[in-house]
Amino acid sequence: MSKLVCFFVLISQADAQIQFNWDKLAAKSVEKVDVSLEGPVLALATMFLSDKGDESKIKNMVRGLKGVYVKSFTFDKDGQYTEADLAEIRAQVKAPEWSRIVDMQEKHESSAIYLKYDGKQTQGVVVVSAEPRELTVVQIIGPIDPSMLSDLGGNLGIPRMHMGSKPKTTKKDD
Amino acid sequence: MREFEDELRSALRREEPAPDFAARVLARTKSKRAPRRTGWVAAAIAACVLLSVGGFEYRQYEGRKAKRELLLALEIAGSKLNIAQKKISTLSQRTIHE
Repeated sequence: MSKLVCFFVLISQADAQIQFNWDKLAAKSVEKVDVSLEGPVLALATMFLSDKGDESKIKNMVRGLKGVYVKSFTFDKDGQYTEADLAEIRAQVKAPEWSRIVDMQEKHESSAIYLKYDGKQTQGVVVVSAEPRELTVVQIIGPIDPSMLSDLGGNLGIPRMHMGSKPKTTKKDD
Repeated sequence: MREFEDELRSALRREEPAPDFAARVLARTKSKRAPRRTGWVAAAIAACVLLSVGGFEYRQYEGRKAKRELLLALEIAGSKLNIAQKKISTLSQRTIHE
């Protein structure tokens, strides 16, 4: 019985949104992106994607997803988040549910990509990207093809985002 | 028996209505009640139509907003994956050259 409970706890943790005090980072940021789509809202968003052209490819890709969460913060000076903050985020994406496939540590930047694989298909992607003045955490839960996802950075009609520059989102003051 | 028949005949005696009877009936039919009920029905129908249109429009708005957010989220996710891939590629090329 206890094993069964542990199993369900592990499953629920694997599908859970990464928990962090995002407000703390938001308070220091000059720009932020905060997207949390799940359940009926995600289904509604999918429904509004066209069945033609590039959007149909995206529609097929996102159909079946359980959640899409993006937290991205841009700061006007360095040192607005700490290694401990990163460690707290990364600690929630751990084995055996998640496999870290990329972990790049540079002097002032780091990128980590985690995949959740059920033996047949990728069931989730987490990207943690840290730059001196930008911190982004992407979490996608559900069946997804990461190679298709990387194509979205410009090839499917979505403008490629220029990294290291300001994200194209609303300013914090808006 | 005779007395009973007389009473019955008296009770069933034909009686002409008052001269203003027809006018009073017509006046009643034109009273304000009937139009007021029609007004309420019209208002209720209008409210239902407005609510339906409003609900539809709100759902459209929510749908478009959710779609924009989804595309933005996927754009960021894709970009970050691209950046990581490029960095890996750069690093591996640098390693090969070294």
